[in-house]
Amino acid sequence: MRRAKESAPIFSIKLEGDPGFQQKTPAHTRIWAWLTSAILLGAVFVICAVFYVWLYVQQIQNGYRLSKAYEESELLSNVQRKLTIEWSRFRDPQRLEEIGRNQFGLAPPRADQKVVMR
Amino acid sequence: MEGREQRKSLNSRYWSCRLLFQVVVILAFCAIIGKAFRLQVIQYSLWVDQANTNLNTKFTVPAYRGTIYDRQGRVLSYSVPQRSLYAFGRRIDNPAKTAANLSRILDEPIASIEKKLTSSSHFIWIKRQLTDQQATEIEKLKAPGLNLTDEYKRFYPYRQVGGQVVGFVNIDGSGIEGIEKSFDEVLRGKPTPVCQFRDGCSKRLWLNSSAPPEPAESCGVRLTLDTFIEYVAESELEKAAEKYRPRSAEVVVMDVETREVLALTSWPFFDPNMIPEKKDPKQELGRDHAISDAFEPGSTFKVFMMSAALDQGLVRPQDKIYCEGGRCELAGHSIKDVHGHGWLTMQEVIKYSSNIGAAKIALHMGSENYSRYIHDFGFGSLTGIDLPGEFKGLVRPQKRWRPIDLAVTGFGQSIGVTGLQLTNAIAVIASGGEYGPPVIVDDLLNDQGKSIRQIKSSETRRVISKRTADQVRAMMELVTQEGGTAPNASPEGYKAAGKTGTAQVMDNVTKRYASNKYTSVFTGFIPAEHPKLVITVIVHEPQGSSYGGVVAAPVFREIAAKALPYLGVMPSGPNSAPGPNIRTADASSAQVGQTSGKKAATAKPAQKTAPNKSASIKGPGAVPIVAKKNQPTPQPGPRMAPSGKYSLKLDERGARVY
Repeated sequence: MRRAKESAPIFSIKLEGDPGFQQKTPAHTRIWAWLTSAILLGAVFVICAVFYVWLYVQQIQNGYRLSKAYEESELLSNVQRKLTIEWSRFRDPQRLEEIGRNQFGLAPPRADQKVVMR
Repeated sequence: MEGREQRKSLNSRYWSCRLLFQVVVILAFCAIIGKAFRLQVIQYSLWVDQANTNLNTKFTVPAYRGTIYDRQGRVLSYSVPQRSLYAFGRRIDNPAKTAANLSRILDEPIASIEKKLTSSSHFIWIKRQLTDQQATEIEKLKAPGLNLTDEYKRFYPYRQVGGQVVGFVNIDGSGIEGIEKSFDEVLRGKPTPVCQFRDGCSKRLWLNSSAPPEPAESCGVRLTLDTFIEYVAESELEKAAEKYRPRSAEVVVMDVETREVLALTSWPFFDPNMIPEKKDPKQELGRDHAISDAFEPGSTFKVFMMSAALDQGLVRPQDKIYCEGGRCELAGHSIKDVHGHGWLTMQEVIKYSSNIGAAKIALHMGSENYSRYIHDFGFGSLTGIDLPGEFKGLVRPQKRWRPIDLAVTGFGQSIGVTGLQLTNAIAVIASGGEYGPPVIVDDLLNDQGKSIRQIKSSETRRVISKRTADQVRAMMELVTQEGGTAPNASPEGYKAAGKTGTAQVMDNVTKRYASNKYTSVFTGFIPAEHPKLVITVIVHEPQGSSYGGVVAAPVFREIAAKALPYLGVMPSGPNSAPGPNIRTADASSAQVGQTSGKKAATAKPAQKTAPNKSASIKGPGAVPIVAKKNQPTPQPGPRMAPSGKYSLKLDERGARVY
């Protein structure tokens, strides 16, 4: 049994005289089959094309987004740098002394006001 | 079969049309394929180049110039983007109207803007580094031909504080002065060129596979400068400048142990934010006089002369020298003291700042020895500080020294030093006799602020022995005590050691010392017992008063009073300045007082009758009035006869007499 299965051809052609031989499919059926295949292929092609275009559009849009995000990050970086400068200016001892003297009426402590912490 | 019949039924016209259509389609396809082949294969590179030209745009990712920090991490110099305005000359529609609008915003004359706009140049800078408000208003104008671009402006948030050290950059971002210049290569950022696509509306889009590079900051520099101490130094110097209206003034504050410069400033101060667009060549913008200008240090130089003499064993602190009552002729020149003195110990020579005493010791030492020590203390050569424009000072070659040069160099004339050299040399004494180069840059930092390279040098060399340094330090303490030339130099609770200097200034026209121009100097260290800071105050040509102890010493005191607690050095108690550290004479030395009180002429006969001729005493004009090295020391003996004419014994320590 196993030997019979092993010796059986992989492909077999059924001749016209063969009882298993079937009548050729009618032309309109074949046209429909061909059309269906063509439509399917076309649909796949169109889907692929649309997908490709969609991807390309996405790429372009992402390119714009990236570019915009990059510009925004650059802008924020610039703002951060300006704020760093502002912060440093607040720490300027000259400015702090002016504010202390003029706005809060502060003055250097007298000798009797100094307490040395040991 | 049915299809075949149908086909047969078609007429020949159908077939010819079909054939024609097929041919046309095939030809069309061939044409398309041919054209595509031509575009894609034959002319590929040409069209790619053209496409790149049209679509690709090159822009530079900014690399900010590195930040300069002080030792506490405070930002001293920082780059911030600022917009700059430029124009395409040929695209300006109405130059007159545009100039009028710009004039209102930029606050510049219409004529000058219109001249720029009507220029034949294609690209014209209208104004660089605008304020944010100006940039916003210009954007609102939407004038054709006007464009804004980002540039990077250097800001100095602490303004004049440390301005001369930090320096400044020009409008193109190149360092011109100070650290900005000396570390320009390190600080300068290198922008990265990047290609990017741009659409027909000039909108950018990023299609590269890698992420767009982020703007980076170049390496930074951390200075040893302390903004607080620098500010204190500047504010105290400003007060002195208001009071004495000098030509200029300088302060240097240095850490004794590490030789780190904590403050370095020159008055008039300089704000690097206020650089005029057109630099006046005569104007010395940002010049740091403390390192680039030499001056005669005057009496402050006596401590180095004394250090050299003590270190060689030529004199001892308790040795006495006759100071001729305040006036004498040496090497054919008249040398005077401000206050006349007779016999002074070496300590007193420093304390009372006797020129005659200093000149005599210098003559006794000889030019070769003295010159060697002068160079060992760092005078006449660059200190090597990382700042541009350092001057090495003026030290005459030893072979060209005349006797008078040797004598006057003893008290700081005929020699030129910078404020930094003087401070560093005092630090040698304060630190026990070791010379180390001054340091202004601590380390280099990466863009995250982490140290990547230390700049400090640990190279030291011994100049004088520890014992000599201690002896000189004790002498310098006397200067700030009651009776010294700077009794007001010590802040409350601290003991200072220093030396005053009041040097005459050479008149450039007459080439003689001007009678009314002085340089007032005070240099010293504090606390005297465990020195932490060396502070040098130099005031050039003050008005009203000229003495270093009056003009410069109070500045020293005020800076020390504020800087020491800030550095964690607390006052040790109320300022109880002891009296002059002069040993009381016993009965035998009382006669010395009588002798020293006499003028040199009257002392001369004493020499003739001096026992064993052990002491050399000569009258005015004789050079030198110092003992020779091989002269025997007077031996202690029994009490001399009460005649007192030749009794020159000083005290029980067997001091020598010169």
